[in-house]
Amino acid sequence: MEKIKIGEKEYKVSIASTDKQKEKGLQNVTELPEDEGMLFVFDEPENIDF
Amino acid sequence: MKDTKIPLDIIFIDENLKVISVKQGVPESEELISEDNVQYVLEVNLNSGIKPNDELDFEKTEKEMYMLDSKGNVQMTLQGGERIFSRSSTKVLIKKAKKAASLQTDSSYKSLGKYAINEINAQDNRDPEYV
Repeated sequence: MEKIKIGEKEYKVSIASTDKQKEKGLQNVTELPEDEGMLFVFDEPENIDF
Repeated sequence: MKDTKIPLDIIFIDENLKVISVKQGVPESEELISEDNVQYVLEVNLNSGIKPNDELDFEKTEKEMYMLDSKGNVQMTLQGGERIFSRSSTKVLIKKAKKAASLQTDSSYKSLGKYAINEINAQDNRDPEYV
């Protein structure tokens, strides 16, 4: 997990960088701590639909 | 969002690490969530308070790599940026350096210098390989 800061908030995030990780995302996660999240990383700027 | 069980803030971030938009991810919803020119997407619990133009910062972590001997004792600590020369290159470098140090001729120094710079250039132009 990586630590990030965004605006005023700090999070510990797991990184989704492979296609498989990005497709799975947070599926089936039933509880997410307030200070945690997932960061999806793209090689280049993309137009995203999901 | 299909298959997602919890309500989320979906934060779209551009290549300059600025938040473009914040949209809501509704559990099990078939509705499409879209944004253009996205380099990162951050998913966190709903109502994060994050707004467009907020900036994403990655925390710098001090990472160290230890090289251990067969008994597990630390032989060397790497911080990143080290140059590593192969055993055979190092042997040649040492040989040329010793020769230049004892002969102290222009040609022996030149030979050492040329070999060293060729090795350095080869390293710089090599694609990194990771195991």
